[in-house]
Amino acid sequence: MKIRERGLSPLFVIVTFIITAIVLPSVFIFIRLFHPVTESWLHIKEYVLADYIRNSLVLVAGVGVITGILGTFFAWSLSKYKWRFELLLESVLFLPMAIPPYIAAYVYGGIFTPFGTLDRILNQVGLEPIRIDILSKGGAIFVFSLFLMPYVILISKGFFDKLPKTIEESSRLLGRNQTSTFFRVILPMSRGSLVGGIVLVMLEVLNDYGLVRYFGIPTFSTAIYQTWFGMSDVDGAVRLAASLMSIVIIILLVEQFFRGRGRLSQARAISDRGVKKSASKIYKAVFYVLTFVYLLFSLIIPITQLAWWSSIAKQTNVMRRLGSILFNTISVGVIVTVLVVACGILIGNLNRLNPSIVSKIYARIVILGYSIPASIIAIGVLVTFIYVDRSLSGLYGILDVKNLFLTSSKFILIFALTIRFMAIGFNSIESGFSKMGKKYYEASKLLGRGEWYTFRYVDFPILKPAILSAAILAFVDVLKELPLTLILRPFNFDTLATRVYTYAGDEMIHEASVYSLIIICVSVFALILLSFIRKGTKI
Amino acid sequence: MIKLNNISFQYDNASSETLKNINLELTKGEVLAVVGPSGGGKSTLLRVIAGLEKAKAGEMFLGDKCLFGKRRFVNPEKRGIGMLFQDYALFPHMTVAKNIEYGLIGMKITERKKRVEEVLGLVNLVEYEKRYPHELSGGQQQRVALARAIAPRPKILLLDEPFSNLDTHLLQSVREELFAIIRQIGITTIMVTHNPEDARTQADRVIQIVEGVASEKIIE
Repeated sequence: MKIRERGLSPLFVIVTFIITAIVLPSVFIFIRLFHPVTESWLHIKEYVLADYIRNSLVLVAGVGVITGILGTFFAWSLSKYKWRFELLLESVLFLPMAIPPYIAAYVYGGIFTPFGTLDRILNQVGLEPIRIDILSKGGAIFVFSLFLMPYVILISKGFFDKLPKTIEESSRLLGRNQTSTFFRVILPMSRGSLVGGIVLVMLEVLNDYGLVRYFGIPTFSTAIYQTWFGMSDVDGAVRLAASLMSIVIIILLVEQFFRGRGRLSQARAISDRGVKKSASKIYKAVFYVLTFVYLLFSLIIPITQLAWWSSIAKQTNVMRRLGSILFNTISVGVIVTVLVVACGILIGNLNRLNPSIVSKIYARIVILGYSIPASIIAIGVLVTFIYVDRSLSGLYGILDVKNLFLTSSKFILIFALTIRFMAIGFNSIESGFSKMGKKYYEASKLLGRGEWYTFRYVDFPILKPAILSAAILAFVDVLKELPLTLILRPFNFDTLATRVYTYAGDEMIHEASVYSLIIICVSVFALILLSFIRKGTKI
Repeated sequence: MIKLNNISFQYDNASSETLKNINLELTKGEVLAVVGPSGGGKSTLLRVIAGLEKAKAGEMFLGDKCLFGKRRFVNPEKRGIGMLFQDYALFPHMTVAKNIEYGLIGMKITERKKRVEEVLGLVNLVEYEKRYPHELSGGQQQRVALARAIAPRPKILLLDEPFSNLDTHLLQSVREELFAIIRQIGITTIMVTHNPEDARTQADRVIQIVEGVASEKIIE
C-alpha cells in the first residue's frame, strides 16, 4: 500500500530548491549561448578549437583503453583467483587513487626533466642520460592511467565478485575453455560495469586542469580558463564550455548504448560459496610482474620522490601561511561536506518516502551532476553569480557593500563545490536508504512518533555508516579538488591543493611536495577508514 | 556408462575429506538419485564428476574414456557432461536460442538451428527462442537450462537440486515434465536432491551420502 500525500510537502519544496540550484548554472550557460558571437570566439573556432577537441579525445580514448584493459585484468584476477597476501594486495592496489593526477604530473615531470632525478641517477652509475618526453600527450595518458585505474578495478571487481560461479562453470561444461568463457560470457555480461568504470575515468580526464596545464597540453579545461582570465571573454568561455558539454553528453549516450538489454537480473542466483582456486603458473607470473610494475610507478616511485623532495624543502617557505592554508582547506571541506550530506539525506528521503517520477528525475539530475566537468560548473556558477550580483546592485548600494559581493566571496566556491560533489554524498546515502527501506520508518510512525523523532532516533542511527562514508568521500574530494577552487576562490585565498599548484608552477617543487604529502596522507587515511566502515556494515 | 573407483576428494581449506572412497557404476539410461544431509558431499560428488573440482585419488571412466586417473585429468569442457544448475546459470545477455546454441561447437549453422529447434520442441518452448532469460518464469528458465544442457548430446546429465528454486504448487508438474523428457531421450542421469519424494518417484536407484561415505539405499 502506498500513502499518497496531497499538496506539496515541505521536503519536496526544499529538494526542488536544491535541484534548481544544481540546474541553474547549466541553464545560464545555455542562455548565454544566444549572446552575440565575439571576435575571440571566431578566432578560437577558426584556429584552435579542433586542437582542443583532438587533444581531449586522444587523452580520453588513450586513458580509457589502457585503464579498461589493465583494470579489468586486475579486477578479474583478484576476484577469481587466490593470491598470497590477498587482503594486503587488494588494499594496496586501490591506494594510487589517493594521489591526484596533478600532483603525479609534477612528480613525473621532475623525474624525467633534463637534469632531473632520472638523469642524476643514470649519471651516478655512469650511464648516458635517456630522453623521455613526459610532457606530452603520451606522458599525460601514462600518468592519468596510473592514477585513475583503481576506479575501473573497484567497479569491475565489485561486479565480478557478485557474479555467480555457476555461470562460468556451465560455460565450461558446454565445451568452452577458460579464455573462450571469459570473452564470450564474462566480458559481455560485465560490460555495463566495465563501461561504467571507464566512463568515470574518462570524465575525470575531462575534469582535470592541473595535469594538462603542467604538461602544456591545450584542452578544453585549460582553454576555458585561458579564455576567461587571459582574454576576459565570458561568452567565448561559455561556448567552449558548451562544446565540452556536448562531448560529455556523447560519452554518456555511448555508455547507455553499451549497457543495453539483457542485464544480470537473476535474483535467484545463489552467491558464491566456493573456495577460490590458484591460477596457473604462467598466469601467476604475469599477474605478479604487472602488479609489481604498476605499484612501482603508481606508489613507490612517486611517494619516494615526494618524501625526498619534502626533506630538502625550505622550511621558511613551507611554514609561510601554513596555518591559514590549513584553516581554509579544513573549513571549506567541513562546510561543503555538511551541505553535501544534508542535501543527500533530503533527496534520498524524498525518494524513499514519496517516490514519484519527479523524485526519480531529481535523483537522476544529482547523479548526472557528477559528470559535468569542473570547468563547466565554474563558468556556469560564475555567470549565475554575476547575474545575481548585478540584479542586487541596487541593494548593495543601500547596504554599502562592494559590487559583485557574492561573486568575490567564499560563498561562490562553497556553492560550486557542493554542486560538484553532491552526487558522491547522494550515492552512498541513497544505497543506505534503499538497504533499510521503509519498514522502520513506518513502524516508528505507527508507534506514534513524528518525522523528526523518527529520523533522529530510528533512521539516522541505522544510516550512520552510509552517512559517514558519504562525509569521508566528500571531504577528501574537496581536499584534492583543484580546478573549481582555482577559478572561484576569492583573492588571496589558498588551500592545500592551490598551494601545490602554484608552488609547482613556480618551480618550487620541494615545497609543493610537502603540501602534496599532506593531501596524500589524509586521502590514504580516509580510504583505509572507508574500507573498515564498509567491512563493518556487511551483513 | 559411468564408473567411479575409490574416488576421494578434499577441499583446500578443509581438514578432512569431503568424499571418501566413492564407488559407483551406472548403466546407460539409468536415473540415480543422491540423497543425504546437507553438507554431506552430495553436490561435491556432482562437481567432481563434472570436472569442476579435481579429485584427490581414484579413477573415473565415462564409457571407455578415462576422465580421471593417476596422471590424467580431463578438463570439464572436454568431458561431454551436461549439468543443470540449481540457479540455472542461464547467460543473461543471450537470448534463449543463443544460450542453447552456445554449446553446439563445430556444427554448421543450419544444423545448429535445427538442433536448437529440436530441443526447444522437446521442452515445449518453441516460440520463446527470441526471449531473454529474465523475460521467462522460473519453470520456463529451468526448461531452457535443460534444453541447453542436453543440446550438445552429452553422455550423462547431472542435476543439482533441480527443484529447490520452485514453488511447492509447481513442483509436481515440473518434476513430471522434466523426467518425462529425460526418459524420452534415455539419458543417463544423476540427480542430487534433499527431497525424498523426488528420489522415490523418479529414480531407478538411490544412494545416500553421509559425511562423505556413500551407501546404497533401498526405495520403500
